[in-house]
Amino acid sequence: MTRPMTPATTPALTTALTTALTTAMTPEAMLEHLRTRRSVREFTTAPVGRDVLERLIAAAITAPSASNRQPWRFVIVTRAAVRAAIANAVRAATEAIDGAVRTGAHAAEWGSYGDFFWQPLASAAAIIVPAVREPPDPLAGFLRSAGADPARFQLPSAMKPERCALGGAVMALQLQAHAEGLGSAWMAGPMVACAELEAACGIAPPWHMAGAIAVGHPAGPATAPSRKPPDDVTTWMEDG
Amino acid sequence: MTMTTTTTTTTPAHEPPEATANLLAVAALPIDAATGDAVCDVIAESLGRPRGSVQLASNLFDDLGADSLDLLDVVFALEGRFTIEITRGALEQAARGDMTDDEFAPAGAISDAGLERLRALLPESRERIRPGLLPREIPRLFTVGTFARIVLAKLAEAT
Repeated sequence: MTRPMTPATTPALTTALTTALTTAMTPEAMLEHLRTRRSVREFTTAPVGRDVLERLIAAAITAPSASNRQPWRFVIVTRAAVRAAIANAVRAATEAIDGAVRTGAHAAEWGSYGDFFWQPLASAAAIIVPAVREPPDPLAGFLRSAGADPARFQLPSAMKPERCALGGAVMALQLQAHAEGLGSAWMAGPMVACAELEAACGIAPPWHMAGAIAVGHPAGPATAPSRKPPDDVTTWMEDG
Repeated sequence: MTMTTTTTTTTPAHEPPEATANLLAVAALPIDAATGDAVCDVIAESLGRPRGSVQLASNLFDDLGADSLDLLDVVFALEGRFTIEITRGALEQAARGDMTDDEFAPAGAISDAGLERLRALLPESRERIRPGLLPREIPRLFTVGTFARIVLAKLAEAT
């Protein structure tokens, strides 16, 4: 079961150490990994290898989904010209919104908020565009087949399970990126150029773009996100 | 943070803008029950908090857990409910009044004179108005009652 010790720095020992570290993941270490993830919005020019990006997707697809539908697809863009086209399309759409907001009473509050929509994409080594599909609702089908009106019932589809599943998949992807020493940010802002990005990425119905994930090597330390304390977001219903 | 103040007794050379005058005029007035309730309703709904947890004395950030984006939600919701405009520019101007930037916040932090003015403007938040306060932290002073007074001022301004 145990192999003889090999001298330090050999590949075998590296593998053994990695295995030991992985299997030694404690609850505290897991929580620390979650707590130290940051949304990173500025990256160095260092590329991210295909093998690493494949691990990010391998992590994403571990996420649970209702009835194991796995209602997600991912377009992974490292090609410089396409990354630039994506960032430029989001920037142009943001500037159109800027122009409209600037004529209003709340221009000061808006400020340069729109820069968040495109700037992370401009320096990302990889842009991952997730797509989601709303699958047919089999329960509604069962009801209709029995002559019942699905609208008379409360159905699971009300929670948009496909969107929830994608959320879990992207979280897994981001945690894997964090473990790889990479930074990432999943942004809704790029939806301002949804049509342009779907065309650039070949996303067509029934699939729909769901934001964009900027991935790369962090250019510097990211700010620690604040979180509402657990007491503010929980209601306990216990015995005793 | 240290700061030096040299001017505290200057008198206004001119009348403050109307909006400012109105904001100051209502600062000490009681908030009528109908407006107070309506503002509490709007803020509770906007922040997704139980109505019972929202009181006139509740501070939006410290008591109701709001962040700066929540504050914007509240502003937009109140604007829609009362058909008024509550801009950051107007709020900052109301806080600064006829003081120049240098008088109000020399070297970043709000001057003693500026703090005194804020205490007059936001009597419900007197204990939070301390030396070292930065202009961008003013919204952190806001209570539900502050917003009720702003709504009253804006409604008065409109008539």
